[in-house]
Amino acid sequence: MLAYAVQRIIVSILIIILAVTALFVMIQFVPGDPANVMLGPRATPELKEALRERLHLNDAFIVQVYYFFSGLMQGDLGVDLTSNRPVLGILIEQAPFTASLVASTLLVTLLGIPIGTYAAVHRDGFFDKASGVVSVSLIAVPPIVIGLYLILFFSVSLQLLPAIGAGEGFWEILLHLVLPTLAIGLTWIGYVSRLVRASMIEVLGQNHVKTARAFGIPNQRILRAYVLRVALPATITVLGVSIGFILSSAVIVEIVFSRPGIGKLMYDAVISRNYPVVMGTVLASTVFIVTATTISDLLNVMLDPRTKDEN
Amino acid sequence: MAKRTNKHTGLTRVRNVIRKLCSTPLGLFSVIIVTAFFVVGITGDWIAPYDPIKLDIRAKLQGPSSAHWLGTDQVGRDVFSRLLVGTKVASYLAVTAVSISLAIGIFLGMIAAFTSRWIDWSMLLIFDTVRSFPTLMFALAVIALFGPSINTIIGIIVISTFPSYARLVRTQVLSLRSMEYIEAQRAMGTRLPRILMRHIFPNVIGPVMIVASMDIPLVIGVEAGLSFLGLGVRPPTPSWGTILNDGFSFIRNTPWIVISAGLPLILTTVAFTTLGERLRDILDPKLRR
Repeated sequence: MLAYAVQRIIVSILIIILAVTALFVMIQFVPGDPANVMLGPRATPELKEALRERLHLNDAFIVQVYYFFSGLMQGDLGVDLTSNRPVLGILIEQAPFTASLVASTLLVTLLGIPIGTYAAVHRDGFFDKASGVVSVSLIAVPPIVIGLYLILFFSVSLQLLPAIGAGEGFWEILLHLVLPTLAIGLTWIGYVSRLVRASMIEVLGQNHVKTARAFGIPNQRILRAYVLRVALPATITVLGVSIGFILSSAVIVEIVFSRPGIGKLMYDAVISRNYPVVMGTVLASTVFIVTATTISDLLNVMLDPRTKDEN
Repeated sequence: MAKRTNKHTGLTRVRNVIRKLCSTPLGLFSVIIVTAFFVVGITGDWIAPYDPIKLDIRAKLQGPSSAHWLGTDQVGRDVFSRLLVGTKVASYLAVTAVSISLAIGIFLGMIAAFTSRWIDWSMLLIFDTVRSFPTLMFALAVIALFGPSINTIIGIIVISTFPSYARLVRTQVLSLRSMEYIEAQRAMGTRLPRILMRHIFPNVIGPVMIVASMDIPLVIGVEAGLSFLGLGVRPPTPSWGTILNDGFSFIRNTPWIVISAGLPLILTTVAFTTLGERLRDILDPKLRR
């Protein structure tokens, strides 16, 4: 177990280093002078030279990578080109908004467990069939469409829930989280319910469950004994994989709902070609995703050692 | 799994699969919508009742009527015509991006399975690195560098989807590699490329196609999302995402633009996912749950 964990963590660090280097290589391939691109065509030569000097653009590629990583080790992610503030500070300021959105999405996703279990127990019944169709639809439809329809229904027509901003004060913040969370989370409720249903059906057909039934142990008790053991690994796997998609959707959802956060920050940085901020957000989200998938992998191996061989 | 190279049985098999697909209401629904998606994608320009980019300010933001089935947008363009023509972008992207990604994924996956452990391992590391980027954030970074265009979107989709095909193919090939009929071919001295093309490829393509069908909603979603953000297809070219964005600005007073632009997105994404699920049930009953 320990050896596996160490190996898994080394691979994760390698992935993060590779990802950042890849981004650097991409910047090298940008057509034209990056200083030109960042400052626009009307910048004076002196301004461009100063920027080039500041971002080490005049140095060789390897030297630039060295500067970036050595800065990174000291917690220095560079400086925002427009506001001159350190990127790390901005990231820390925006992270809680995105983190709360991701956390509430993950929580909502757990709703898939009871839905999937009920569908599996009443297999081929009305609920099973209906939830199957609804789940597949929710899995398929892009979060942007779900988000817009939610706004139309709950904010524009019913005027029940706020659709703009992140709110202030505990109750307001919660209310402002509802629609964005559903916009991202409905998809994953669908996924988890399908997966839990599938694993439950598999387990319910196994010999030890049949034996337990034959001994006259009540259905309720059998379910209680197996539900979590079956549902947890499936759910953790899905959630581990989903973190990346949830963050992706967060970009769109934050913009649709005018919420502050990492996604909105990145979008604004892309529009204004603020490279240091783009780099910082990409790095932060990659680290976050790689950490999340690693943790979910390790948790899974702890819960079910057989999965070790599959990874 | 025995090899099937006989053309006649191949055709009968395809016909059987289509018959089974259409035998359930959901399967039939998905076949109809997917067919319509590609047909409208090709013919959209001709069947659209109005010019999708012609402005008519006097007719702006009208509700649905017999003249404009789905109303008009903020500069008086017919929303229905724009949706029909917008299908072109979605179907073009779905076909090109997924085919390129499939080709690269299958090629690299087969190589990874048949080379030395070290190359296999480093390829896996690269696949996992690429997969660890969230698609949309990766897309934003690439667009920040190279500017928005349809080719950029294709590139983004290819790069973010090929690793999962490659990984899938690799796993499939690894299990096929030790099969007796492949070992027999190798013992007889058949060259590797021939084994790969004649014996491995036909057995790998099925599962990969199923995943590809389920990935098309992702492609359509990425395009819609990026175009919605103004980072995909450039105006005035209609695409489902740009129409959603037009409607979003007027969502309080004229909600029908968002509603009608969302419908084709919902229909096609659900249809492709259902198609993939049905295909999996039919082609690979072992996976059925």
